Amino acid sequence: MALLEITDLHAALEDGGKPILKGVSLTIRPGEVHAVMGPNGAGKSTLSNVIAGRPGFVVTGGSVTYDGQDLLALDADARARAGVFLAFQYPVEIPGVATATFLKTAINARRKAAGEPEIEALEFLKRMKANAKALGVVEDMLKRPVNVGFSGGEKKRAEVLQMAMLEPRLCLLDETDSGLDIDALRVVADGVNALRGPDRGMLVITHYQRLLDYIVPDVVHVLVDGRIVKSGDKALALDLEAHGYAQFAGAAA
Amino acid sequence: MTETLDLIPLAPDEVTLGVNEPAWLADLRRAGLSVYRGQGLPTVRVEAWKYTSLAGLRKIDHVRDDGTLGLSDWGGRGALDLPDAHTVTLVNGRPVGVPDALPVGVRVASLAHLLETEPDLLTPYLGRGADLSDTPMGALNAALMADGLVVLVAPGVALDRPLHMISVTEAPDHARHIHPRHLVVLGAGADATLVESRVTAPGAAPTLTNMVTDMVVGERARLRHLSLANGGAEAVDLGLTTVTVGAEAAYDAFTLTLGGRLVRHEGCVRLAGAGAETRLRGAYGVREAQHVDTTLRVDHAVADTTSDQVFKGVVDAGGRGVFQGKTLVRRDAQRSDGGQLHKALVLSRDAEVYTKPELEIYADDVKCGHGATVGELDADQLFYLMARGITEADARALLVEAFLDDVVEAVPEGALRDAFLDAVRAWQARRHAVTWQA
Amino acid sequence: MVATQETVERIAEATGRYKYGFITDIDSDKAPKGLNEDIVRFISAKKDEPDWLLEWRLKAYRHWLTMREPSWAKLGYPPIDYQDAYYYAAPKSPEDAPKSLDEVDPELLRTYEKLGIPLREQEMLAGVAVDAVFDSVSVATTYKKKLEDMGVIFCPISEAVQRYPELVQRYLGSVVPYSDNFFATLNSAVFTDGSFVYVPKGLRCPMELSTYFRINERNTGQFERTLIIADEGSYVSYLEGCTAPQRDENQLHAAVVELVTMDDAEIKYSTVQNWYPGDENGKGGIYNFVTKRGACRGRDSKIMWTQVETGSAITWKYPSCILQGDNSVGEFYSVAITNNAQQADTGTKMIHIGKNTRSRVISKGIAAGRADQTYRGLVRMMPKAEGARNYTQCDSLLIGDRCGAHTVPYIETRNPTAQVEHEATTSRISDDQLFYCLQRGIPQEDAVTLIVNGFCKEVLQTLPMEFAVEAQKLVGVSLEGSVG
Repeated sequence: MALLEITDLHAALEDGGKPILKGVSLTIRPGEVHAVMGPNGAGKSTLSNVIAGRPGFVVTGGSVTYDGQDLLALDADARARAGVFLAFQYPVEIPGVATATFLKTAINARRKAAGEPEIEALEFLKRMKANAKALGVVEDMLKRPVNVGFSGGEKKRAEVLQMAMLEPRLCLLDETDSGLDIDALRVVADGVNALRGPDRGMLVITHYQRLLDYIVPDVVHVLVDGRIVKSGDKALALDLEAHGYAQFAGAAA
Repeated sequence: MTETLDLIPLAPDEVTLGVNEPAWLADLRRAGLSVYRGQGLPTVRVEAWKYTSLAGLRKIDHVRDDGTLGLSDWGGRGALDLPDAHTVTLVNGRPVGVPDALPVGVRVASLAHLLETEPDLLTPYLGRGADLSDTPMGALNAALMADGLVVLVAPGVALDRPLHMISVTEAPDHARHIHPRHLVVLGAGADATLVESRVTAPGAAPTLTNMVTDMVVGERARLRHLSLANGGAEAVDLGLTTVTVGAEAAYDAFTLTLGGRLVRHEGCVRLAGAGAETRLRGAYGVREAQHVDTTLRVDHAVADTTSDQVFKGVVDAGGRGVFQGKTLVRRDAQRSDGGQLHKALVLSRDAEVYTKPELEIYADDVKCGHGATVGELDADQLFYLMARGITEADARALLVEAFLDDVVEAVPEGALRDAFLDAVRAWQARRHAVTWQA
Repeated sequence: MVATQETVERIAEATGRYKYGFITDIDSDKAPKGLNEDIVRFISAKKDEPDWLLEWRLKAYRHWLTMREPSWAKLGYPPIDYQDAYYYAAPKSPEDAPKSLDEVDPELLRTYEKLGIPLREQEMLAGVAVDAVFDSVSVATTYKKKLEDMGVIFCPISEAVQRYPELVQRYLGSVVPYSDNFFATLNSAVFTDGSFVYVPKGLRCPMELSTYFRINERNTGQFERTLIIADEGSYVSYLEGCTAPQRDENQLHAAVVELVTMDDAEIKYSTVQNWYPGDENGKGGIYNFVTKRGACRGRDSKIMWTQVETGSAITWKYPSCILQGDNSVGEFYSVAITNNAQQADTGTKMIHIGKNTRSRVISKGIAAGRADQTYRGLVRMMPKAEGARNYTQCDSLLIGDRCGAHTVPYIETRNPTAQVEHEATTSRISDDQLFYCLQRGIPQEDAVTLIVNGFCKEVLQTLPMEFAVEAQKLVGVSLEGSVG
């Protein structure tokens, strides 16, 4: 069974805004990594936001099925607890809430929903330290409020750290490479790769091919003007790098 | 015919000044008189006047200005130097002639004249700016106003050069109280720059000016309002400005207060249409028995409106500075953006600063804040300058100037800004002279 | 309970005294409705007070008659009929109390549960008359003994009047004079009881006085009077109130708290106020008019107020510091939450008199529902406050578009070397913050609690540890139903 099945998805901005997604279909099976590439304004971020249930968008047609259930029927927090994780392009600051406290609250929300007991303090610490170390996140950062005063690179590392801690089944990475220098990119990509597994699916959204040198996708989709205009294997990404998106300019119309 | 300001010995029908005043004006005068009789001269027990006492006014017998004085032989000292502006001089609130060469669609006239000849022109505006019951001095002005300047800019018309109002107080014989009333109306899409200089003729007796200015900025119009209060050592200068800003319109004010014994500048700006904006900027310098009060109220009456207040004050020995700023965001005035900053520099002992920045917020999707600081010159900066060989006195003067100049930058570049900077320099020079004599 | 019993015994002893020719029956458990000199005399006689105290009360009462209820606060409530209230009622007898938690309002119990209050404390708070109470009496007695051995006086103020009259006489009204303000003056005339603390020279009181307080404080009544004196070089941390909602039948509360610190002394006074706020429509609820003030008399002394105000229909409260001693420090940390129809006008006054005095004000106001909230604060730098410093940060958070949050600071500087810095912000929980939490699987209501607790963190972390945890839960409970 597919992990994520998007069928003819149409979405627009709320309050009669303009349509952004104009019939997107794709299927991610467990263990697969899909990349979505496309020019600015193609609707890449909207796609990840609509899957995650961000307010401000309305789905005007089509369906999203996750693990056999209608994902669009769930509230954003229920989707997250069901295993959908969005690594944000611009992670928001939450003053006063320590990163570790935040993570623990999120883990326990998930456990509570599953009828499991809260995570043991010791186990939590152990896992957090191990993951932090792997991602080069200094422990001091975990005591600091969520994303407050983090550099661009620190924010992205913290996103991947959260992903590792929350053990999602579906990871949506929204332009995780933006704002990262090459060293940081490698660390983040290593973190993501470590999470690849037979049960987990990933949707990696990026503008540049560069990220895909490190996170090698099974399938590459090209999104232009709200539609997937071409799908292929990783070679497609290199082709795009060489020839740009202009070749698809008329294709979406 | 002296009058104590507490009990104006007038019967309600005696406040009707013009022979043929329209009924609405008589009503306005009576309403004003009734409010003033009810509340009297505000005391420090009235919250809005907590830090500004008018008790001193009681000790002076004022006569009501009868409007007969002309401009004395006076050299214009203290007014801004703006040779290229359209200029109109007012003596005790009465325009002495009006500028010619105004563009088509711009009218500048005396209030008294218009009330006599075309009162209907004023009906929609005069006295509509503020609730009289909130402002006893405004109410007194409504009761006693005799003249002032009316500026009407037709829709879509741009005033080519700034209009410079030079208000001169003359009181050669006896302390007077005068109640000028000005009205500025910009039609939709109009654009104008109004500059005011308020000065006192040399040797004038202590005089109370209780001025009210009503301004209406039509949709998409833009009004820049710059003023210099530079009255004499005995001048009591109270001014209330009410501004209504329409949709997508902007009202930008800059107020520089350097002279006068007791100056209170009260500004009430109502952002009445979506997209309305106001930027209120100002600076003041006070010393030696001077008292300068800036009281602002910005009313975000509807959604999507923006305001920003920045005031700076320098307070020297014996001076007192007051800043009260209120940002009100009404229910449903969502996406209002209101900022407010007051910084005061206290230069010596016996200087006092009172600050009350206030937020009153009834909508949640807003960005509102305020900041206030009071303190002396930065010791590190002072040391830095002195370490470069600058004398302490010069270093202090330099830092004070820099502190004030920062906010004078709000004045559009060119002749206007230069004129205001010159006024600051002149004040600094006077301050310096006094300091060294002491 | 020892204290209360002692008080009851004293009142019993007072029976039969008939000094002033008033007609109220001294045997009565309740003075008749209304307020007059006889009632003041009755209260004083019930407590067997010395003449000086009665005279002080009477002076206050007579002065009160000349005063008008203040109207400057941004609060709206129907006029209070001061003659339509009881000013003295003896503590409730055990027969009136519920016999077990089964008899207690289940709504109350649910709240206790959410706050994680232990069962035995639940019984205490709900006023259940069971054996558990006797257990705690012995605990309380143990603490009391320990404190006494160290020289700390900690007892009901009525008891202190009897046992330490010279201390009480010296300090009572020395920070909040009987003529101070309408509510404090009323309190001076009719206060019934409260706490008295004296910490001797050089002693760091090793325990939070809360520990004792929590199991001992009951029925302090609507006109509470507290006096705490920290002598040279001493330290004490005092916690008033409780996160759990408390039973109270009096709608009007007008407490007075006076703190005095001598050279190098420090008092940390923390309050968690969760009186009944009234129902969703604002019906019922406590009117809480409190005067709290501390005087840093000595050099290098410090007073720190922390308050978490979530209860009451009306809150009027400005814990203040008079910084007289050179280098003395005043701090005020406040979280106020108003939901539904609650109204709060609260803040602080920092009066800098001495040299190099410092103050810090951190206020976090949260308004939800149709509630209104005002921060009102005064920072005054007197002419001799050389080198004084103040820093104030007031942040308001609005939850929903029917509430109001207001900031009214007064900053008065009369010394050129004094520095004052004030900042205020108004904001709401951003959609982005909320979505970020939801996306991590945190349900909406928990997310709001988490974000609001983050907003309040700087204040909550100044609370004693055990209360900080409870206060965080209280934030969540107080905001229930505020997000759609």
